Amino acid sequence: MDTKKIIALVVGSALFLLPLFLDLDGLSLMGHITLGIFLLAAVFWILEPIPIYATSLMVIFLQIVFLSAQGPLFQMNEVPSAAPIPVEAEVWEIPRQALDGDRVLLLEERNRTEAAEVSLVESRADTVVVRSDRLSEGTRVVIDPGHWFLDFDPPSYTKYLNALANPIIILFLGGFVLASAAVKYELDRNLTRVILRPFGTRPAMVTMGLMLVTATLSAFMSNTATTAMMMTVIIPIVAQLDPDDRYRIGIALAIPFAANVGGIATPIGTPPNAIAIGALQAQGIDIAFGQWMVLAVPLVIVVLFFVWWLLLTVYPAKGERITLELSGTFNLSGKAIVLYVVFGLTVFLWVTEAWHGLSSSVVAFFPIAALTAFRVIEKDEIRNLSWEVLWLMAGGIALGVAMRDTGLAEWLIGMIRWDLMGAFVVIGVFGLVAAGLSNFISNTVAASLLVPLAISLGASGILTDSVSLEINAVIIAFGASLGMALPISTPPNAIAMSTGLLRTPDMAKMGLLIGVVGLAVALVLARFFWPLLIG
Amino acid sequence: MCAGETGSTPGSSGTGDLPPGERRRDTSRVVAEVRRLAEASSELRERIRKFDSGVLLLREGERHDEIFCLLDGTVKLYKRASAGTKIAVDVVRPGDLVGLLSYCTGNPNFTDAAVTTPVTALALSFEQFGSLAGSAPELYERLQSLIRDNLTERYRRMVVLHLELATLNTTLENERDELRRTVLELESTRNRLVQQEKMAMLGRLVAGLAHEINNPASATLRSVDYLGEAFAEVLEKVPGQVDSGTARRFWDAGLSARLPDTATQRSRLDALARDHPRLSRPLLRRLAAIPPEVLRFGTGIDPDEAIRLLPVFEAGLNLQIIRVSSERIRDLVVNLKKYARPGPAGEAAVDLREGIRETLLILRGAVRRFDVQLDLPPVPPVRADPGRLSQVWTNLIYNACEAMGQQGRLRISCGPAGDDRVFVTVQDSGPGVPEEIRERIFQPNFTTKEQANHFGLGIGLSISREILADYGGELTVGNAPEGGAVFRVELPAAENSG
Amino acid sequence: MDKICILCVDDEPDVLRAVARDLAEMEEGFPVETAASAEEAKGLIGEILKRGDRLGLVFCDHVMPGQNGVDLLIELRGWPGLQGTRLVLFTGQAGHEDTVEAINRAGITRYVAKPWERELLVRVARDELTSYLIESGRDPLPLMRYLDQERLVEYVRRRNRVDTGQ
Repeated sequence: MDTKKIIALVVGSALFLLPLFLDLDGLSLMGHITLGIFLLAAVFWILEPIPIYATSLMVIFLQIVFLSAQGPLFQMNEVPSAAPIPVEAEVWEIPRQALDGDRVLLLEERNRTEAAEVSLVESRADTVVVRSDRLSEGTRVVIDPGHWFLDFDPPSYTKYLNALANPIIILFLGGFVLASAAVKYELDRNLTRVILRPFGTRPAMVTMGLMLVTATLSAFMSNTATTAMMMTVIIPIVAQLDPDDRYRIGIALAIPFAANVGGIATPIGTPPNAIAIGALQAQGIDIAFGQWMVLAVPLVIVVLFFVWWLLLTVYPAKGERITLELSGTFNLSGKAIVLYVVFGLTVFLWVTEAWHGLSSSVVAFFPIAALTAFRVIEKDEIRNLSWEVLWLMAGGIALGVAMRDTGLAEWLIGMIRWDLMGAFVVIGVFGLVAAGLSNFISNTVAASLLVPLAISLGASGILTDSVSLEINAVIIAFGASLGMALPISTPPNAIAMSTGLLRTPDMAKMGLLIGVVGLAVALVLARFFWPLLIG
Repeated sequence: MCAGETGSTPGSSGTGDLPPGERRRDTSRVVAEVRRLAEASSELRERIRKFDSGVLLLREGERHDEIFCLLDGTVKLYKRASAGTKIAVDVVRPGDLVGLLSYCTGNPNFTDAAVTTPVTALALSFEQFGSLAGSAPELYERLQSLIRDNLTERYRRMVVLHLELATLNTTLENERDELRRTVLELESTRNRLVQQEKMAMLGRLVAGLAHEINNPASATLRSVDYLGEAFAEVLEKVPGQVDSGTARRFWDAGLSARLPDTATQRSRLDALARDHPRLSRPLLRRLAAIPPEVLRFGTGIDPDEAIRLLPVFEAGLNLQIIRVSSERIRDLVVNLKKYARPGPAGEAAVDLREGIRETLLILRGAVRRFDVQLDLPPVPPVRADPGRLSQVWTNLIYNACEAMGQQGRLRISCGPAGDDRVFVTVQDSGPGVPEEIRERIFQPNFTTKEQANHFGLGIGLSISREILADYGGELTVGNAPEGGAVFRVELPAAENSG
Repeated sequence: MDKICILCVDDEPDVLRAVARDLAEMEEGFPVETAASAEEAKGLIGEILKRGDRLGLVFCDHVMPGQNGVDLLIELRGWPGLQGTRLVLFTGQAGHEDTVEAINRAGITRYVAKPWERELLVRVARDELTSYLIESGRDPLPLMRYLDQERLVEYVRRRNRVDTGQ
């Protein structure tokens, strides 16, 4: 293990412990612990001493240990209390520390307390004698009225475990199963074939076709698998081009950029979307599949068009014609037919959620059940699903939940005088930070770190209601997907880079430009368009 | 009843006299009576006819409705064989009947019947013959007796023939075996001759080829020298970005450098990689070929300059490789020419160690994988044709390689054997030669190889033995105490062989 | 550290030099090591494994002093740490039986005859290392540019996993 990783481990662990030694004003003990988990997660997610999905699982584990009623912290520690000693009727002797001004705290169950007014009768060495009608033989007075445990009612550990089966996780699982079956039966490749055909052979049109297909597929499948499949389409094209034809670079960039942007279009397009939706769900706000698309698709179209124009301008084609190899036939076996039907029906139900009211997560279980029942996907494919991506998202969701529950998010937000900035500036800052961060770290992680804060900000009422919770969360999800300036920014970028067709500066310049323009478009939409859709 | 055309006495075949005590019954008395009875009958008298030599009584395949009872003279029977030739199958003498078979079966004549000495015969038509019992009972009786005699004779004859056949078969078999042996011997002799002719042909071919290769190889070598001089001059005179002295040093280093062994190369590469981590590995590997003392000459050369001068070094190195390779070709050609000396045998006093060394060089590819140990102290010359001796060494060395398979130790030694003889031993570390096949391995066509596709062709050892015998030498085989076969050649030294 | 090496074993220094030169374009991704004999090769492989690198591909001559190539390959096939390593017989001198032996017992996947064409050698190295990478289950992206991109991209599509970002 190299030094960098060891340092990351040490720093992360130290930051986890640090809040426990501080007494931050206005933050509960649980808030302190959550802050520690947040800092550890941030360091581990960003520097990756352990895999990011392992960090997610670590987050859930730490929450169970430190924040749940079943965790050892609450199992093994109790709030110190003492039984009052009767002196005479309604006069009791209690430990001196128990007296808090003119009241004492009565311990009811576990950490729940009730204040009771008392009047001091006599002060002794270590004890005081008080008069109160609230005390009785069975009551216990809290010896340390300032104890950290007080007034925190730890949730059951199932609350944190639930993150692993959060509806949005199930929605993604449904998407994964569909995508896995699509890859198995070459549905993605065959759709590509069919869609590309009308685009002809002119380089500009070919690029447009490729980008459109990529974006569409990546809206429903993983951006990674989509990019890989499209690379198998373009590698033969690139091979027939002149080595110094700059169109090669353009086309090699078009695919990953279209995949990144396309992921924005649907809730299942890319994990940051899930983080936003999951966090909103925790706030009791449900965003329907179709509703998300209405928010996102205009952005996607505008950005795709911009990317298309940009790449063709910067990397024009030398030739007049590009020939695509588009042979192949649809698989017409029974299982493949089942897949086509299930796929079509699922997407239809997702998009039409507003009409029938079935939540997208409920619909997502249909392909899971149907495709496994018909053995369209089997053990091998199930094993091969990207479970670690689901866990990664679950950790993000669990962290968001804890930050809200413990008041940490609100506390962090309170550190900055947001009210001095305009609401519009605030979402601009969030979007920019999300896009900037996700250039260097996983998009999911960036969203996981930022969305809870943004949501608290919306819920805190600090901002005027022109910026809703939804817009705040969504802009972060979009921003996370728009960070695509570096090869390490997203898996599609990494795949495109590894073909050796590109140099990093090509990708950095174009990616940065697209990120900035995309964010600008998103902000414009956020200002003028989205508020019309979100009540 | 009608078992044969005739009963006949043997005689014409020349082999078949009757065994003693098996004499044929004398029929002359019966014949005389037949003649008498026939002449007595007016009807039959005119049937007694005379035929001169050469007359055909019967023609094979035709129909003839007469039976001849021979009273005098002889008739030969011929059967047509393939291709129009006729084979005499029997001789018919007085007392025998001709045409009896056709009479019995109704078939056309079975054979030709030709008169050889003038014949007197009683010729009866089938009709007459059939009615004899009624018309001439006495004659009929006599003729019956003759026919019986014929049959008896015929049976006896068959037994004798079987006996003869058996004897003949045995003889024939013996002769055939002998013939086969002769053919085999002839074949192996022929193989040997072909082999020798092949070798001679190969020799001529190789010599021709060697000559052809020699010219371009020499030209290459010469050009290498000229190129070297020219390049050195270019380095001196053409001003460039590099200091000509340093460049010259790199050039010379390239000309004289040996490719380092892999371990050295690796350690140099590692050292360079440590010092210059930003350089790519292929480049470092090329730099690692330059001897470190050249790189660190004087104050040391900065890596950029070394990289600039790398082509100069490599040009020198490549030129050197061309030179070494061309020299190898030239040496190989020289040796090939000696080895495959064409033309008729020229006996001379030869140092057999030279031949062994040449042969090893030619067989370099085959012996490369073995540990070759030479123990060749000076020995007196022997009188022989060096080309043919080389063939012996080739056979022995090749054999040894074959016996060892993939690895082993090949040991060749020579020395004096007694006062006036010289020995050479070729020892391998293979399985050795089992006692029971020790002599057989010198037989032609003996091989332990599964496919005799090498140019020993399985007769290498027998040829070697013959070649050595021509010069008064011999070839023997034994096993070394430590395992492996030892082939030992002994030849008379030149002073004594005259 | 954690590099995938190519090893060439041949007793002719000229051959080693030429092979290293032919494979130079891949060397940034796959360091080329050379050994002049089976013994040296085995020592070298031990070092490679010890320093945490892996051996992806071996080009091995057959006729060499000491242990021959086919026997070396058979021996290497049984080494722990070389599972999946692609073995190539690289010779002009292996007979029919040796080659059969090499295929059956050492599991060689290719036979490159000498003299060789540079293009063929590079293609063989590329194909074999692509297979090695896919079989080893490692992230193929960092090395993809040196290898068969179509196969590797298809592999990524099937596996739907990339070790950078997400």
